[in-house]
Amino acid sequence: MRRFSALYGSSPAHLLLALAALVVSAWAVVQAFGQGPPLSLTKWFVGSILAHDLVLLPIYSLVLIGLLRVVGGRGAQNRAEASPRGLLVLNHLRVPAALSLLMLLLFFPFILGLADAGYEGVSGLSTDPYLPRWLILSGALFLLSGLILVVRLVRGGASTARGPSGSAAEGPGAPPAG
Amino acid sequence: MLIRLLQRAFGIDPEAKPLPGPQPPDRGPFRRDFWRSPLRGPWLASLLSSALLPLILICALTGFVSHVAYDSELGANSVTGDDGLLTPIYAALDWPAGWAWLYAVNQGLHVIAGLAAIPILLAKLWTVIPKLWERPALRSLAHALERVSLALLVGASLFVFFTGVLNIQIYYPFGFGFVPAHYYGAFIFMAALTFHVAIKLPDLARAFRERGVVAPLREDRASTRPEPPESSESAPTAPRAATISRRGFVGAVGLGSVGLGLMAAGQSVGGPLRPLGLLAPRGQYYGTGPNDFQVNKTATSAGIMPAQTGASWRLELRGGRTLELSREELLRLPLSTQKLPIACVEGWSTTQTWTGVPLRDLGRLAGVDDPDELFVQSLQEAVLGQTTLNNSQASDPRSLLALRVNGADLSLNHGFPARIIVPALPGVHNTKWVQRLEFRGA
Repeated sequence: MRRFSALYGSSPAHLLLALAALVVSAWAVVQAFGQGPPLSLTKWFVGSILAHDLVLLPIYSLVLIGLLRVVGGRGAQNRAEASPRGLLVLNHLRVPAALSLLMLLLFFPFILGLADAGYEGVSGLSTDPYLPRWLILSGALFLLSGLILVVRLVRGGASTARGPSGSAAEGPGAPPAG
Repeated sequence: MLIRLLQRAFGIDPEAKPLPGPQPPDRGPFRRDFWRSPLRGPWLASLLSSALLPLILICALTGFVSHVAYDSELGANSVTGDDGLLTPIYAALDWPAGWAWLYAVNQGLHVIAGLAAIPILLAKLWTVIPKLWERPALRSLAHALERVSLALLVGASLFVFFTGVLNIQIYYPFGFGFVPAHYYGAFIFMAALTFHVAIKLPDLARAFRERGVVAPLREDRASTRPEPPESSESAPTAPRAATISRRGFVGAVGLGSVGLGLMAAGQSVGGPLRPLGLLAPRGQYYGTGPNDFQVNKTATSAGIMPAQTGASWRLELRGGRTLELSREELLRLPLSTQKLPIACVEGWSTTQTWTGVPLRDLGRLAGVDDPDELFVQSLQEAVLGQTTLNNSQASDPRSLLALRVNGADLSLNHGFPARIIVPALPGVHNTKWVQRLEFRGA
């Protein structure tokens, strides 16, 4: 047992379960390739990992750095020096921005009018209303966030000793209706 | 305890021989001090996973149930091709016509859970991204297999989610068929996930034991402390000060999740809740008339010519004997009125009041009292222009050949002159513009 573990790196159960997962995956790949086309399937599968890990994730950081420069002003290069007030404003900007961009990321075919042909044939309706709906929803999120920010600044909630300083005050709940 | 058993079975042996070969450079993202956020660590990953796993399991279960609902062993019902090894399982499961809203609820849950999971999935991937760049890249054979399975897990989860999201918007930039790709991608996802949960459960238990389950959510931004670097490769070695607290981060993710879930629920429940589906594909209103509800496939896009549905249309019945009926003749038969939903695989439904001839009465007219199967042919010449119903569906008293909806004649878009409507049947099988019914067996 110890020799197996020293050679393999874990127990036989680990190897068995890993192989089982690989076998099931291989079966699924064969079945899927049978429905074809294999090249397109592989391209999109691998592409989704690359697009997420190497494009989307770095974008999060770049946007954050950009926002910090705008909000934190001088000294925001070293994020530790951004003032508590600046960080409060930053968070009340980036949470609605993140939610708005997430909606755009998920519903871009509707919002950007790319799915019109298919959608119209299926539902008899147009995707035109989706761009204004997204804009209104985004606007409402920023408005709500701004109102909460004002309340917190007025209450002096930016001081480290008092109250929450994240955006959890918005809490879960229904998004504002467009 | 289970956790200790799993730890012993699946823990990585630190004494194991490292694999030979080149290592990644000690630069850029490969350095642990590149990753500065103090929020990352095993506790955050564990919390997000605890929320993500139930949603994924709901998606997986409802997804496979949906495949059962299609009764792909009958006629041309299959949309995923040959089920291969799983054929006996699906053949043995006949989708019942019992509770009329079963498919509507199943698919509603599938899309609600799916959309709600997406923000949590993205947050989880952000939390553990330092592990993509870990050094050494391959510590042992076991470690290598874990990394391969992670590649499958991340790839399959992203693939299944994005194909699903694009499908509900009827947008197909990829060159492969959505249904088999999404379905088989889910198998890879589940296989890799099972392995992942088995090897990570001890880490999750330890993280919650050491830091508490919700205790870190009580910290505000100023008192947010990083998790120790030795707790996991995802924890930072050179953290900066927090710009947001953990509860702020989790709260924002939760807000996104709840918002998306509500949007999906709006289009699934429909009626007064439909406006909640702000960005949902079926969150729009048609109007207030009897035929003003969600259309699935317009007559034009299905290639239906008005001449085909005019006065010369006849319903062809086949079974013990063959006969043809005009629409007027059908309207003179005893009619039944049922309140039934159309539930689409894309997670939306609409419930309306339908009037028509019960299918089993038509079966008796054709000389078949208790059909094994009912084959339905539409005027629409397409892959899904036919359906085969099973015995339960064909003989249920509520299953109709509908001629009217909400008191008015069916509109052309809703299947004029006649359409099928059956309790719990997946929407696409409620065939429109029916041309022929063949009662088989018995």
